[in-house]
Amino acid sequence: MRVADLPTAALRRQLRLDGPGLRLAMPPFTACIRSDLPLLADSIASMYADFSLAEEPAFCDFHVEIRRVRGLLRGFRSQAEFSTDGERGFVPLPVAQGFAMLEWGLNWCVAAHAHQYLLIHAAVLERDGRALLLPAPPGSGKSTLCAALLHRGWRLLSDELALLDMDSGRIRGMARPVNLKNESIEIIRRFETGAQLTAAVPNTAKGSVALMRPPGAAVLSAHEPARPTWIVLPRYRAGAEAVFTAAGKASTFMAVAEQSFNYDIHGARGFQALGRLVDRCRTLSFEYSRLDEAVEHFARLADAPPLRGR
Amino acid sequence: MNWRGTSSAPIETLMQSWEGEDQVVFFDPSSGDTHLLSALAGLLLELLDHRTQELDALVAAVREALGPTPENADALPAQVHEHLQLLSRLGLVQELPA
Repeated sequence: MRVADLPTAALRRQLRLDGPGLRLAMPPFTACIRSDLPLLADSIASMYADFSLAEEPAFCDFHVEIRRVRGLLRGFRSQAEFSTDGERGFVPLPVAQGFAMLEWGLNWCVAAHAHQYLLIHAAVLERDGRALLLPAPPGSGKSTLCAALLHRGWRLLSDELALLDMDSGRIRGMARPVNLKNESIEIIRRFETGAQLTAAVPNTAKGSVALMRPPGAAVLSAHEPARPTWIVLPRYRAGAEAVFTAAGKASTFMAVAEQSFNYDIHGARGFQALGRLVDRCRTLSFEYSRLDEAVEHFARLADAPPLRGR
Repeated sequence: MNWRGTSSAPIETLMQSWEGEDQVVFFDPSSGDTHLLSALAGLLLELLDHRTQELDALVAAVREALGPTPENADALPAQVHEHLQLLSRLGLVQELPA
């Protein structure tokens, strides 16, 4: 059953703090979500409509709650807090940020626990079975570029978390909603009028935030890994012409290691896995300012014949 | 003065290099750190992998590896010494009494 097949009243019942929990499949993980925020059900229904629900008593990797804070602050400034396995993880935030908090919390659950993978802070997209990794720090335009590409022929694996299977060398993602911030929200609304975004929530720690619903086809294929083919280090610069520049393998290795959440945990195994990843990929830097131009460059990259030896 | 690499693991499991690049990456299993090093530093680590060598022998080996007439041949001993000092500070090689 998909989230969209669940009547709103049933969705709310499952989400209740004393309910069974909404068992959301986001391959390769399943999260059990509970909340007493009515608005959260609407956001989940909208943003996760194409995701499958696991039947009880399916194993859940993460049990999370978004709970309204009880106490002196209630009524003065409504707040909510995120917890996982009963442990509160973050400072409470305004209730209006509840869905964004759920997204950040789920990211944290994966980054803090899923050490069977080498976890890289990167957007990942796929075309013809080949994965494009866009590792970059916040503010580099990674999610904006990802949001544009997924509307122009690339399959979304993730806008935030690349899961490298160190045995197979394949990359997985969860195809979850894309996190857009500040100016990117309007840029993507204009770029793709069919994009479904939540209302922008202002004044978060990251500025204004909106989530974009992932395409249904990407969600249906979320369990399919892709073969790493390109690592592109993106950088938005106002007014810049779109241009790829060859990036050194060694410096790309260090850039990806810096963007990994758990590289240090894996030691020599992580070093070797990252070396194989960099070795098999074409490594590039990419500077851009206009999305249309950027999309054309990536289309040409995908259509170019593979380099010899790969 | 003699020099020797400090790692007991085979260097091929600790260093990654790519043809035509002037940098390598090296994983230090004792600290867990990964270092971005010059190709010359990488070459020195290879030459000192499970081996002890004198500075003069190292310079000769580097000269041989770099080719017949490197442009900066006169500066090579100082460069090698400087790189050895750097690698020593990182704990990747150690200086031993002759």
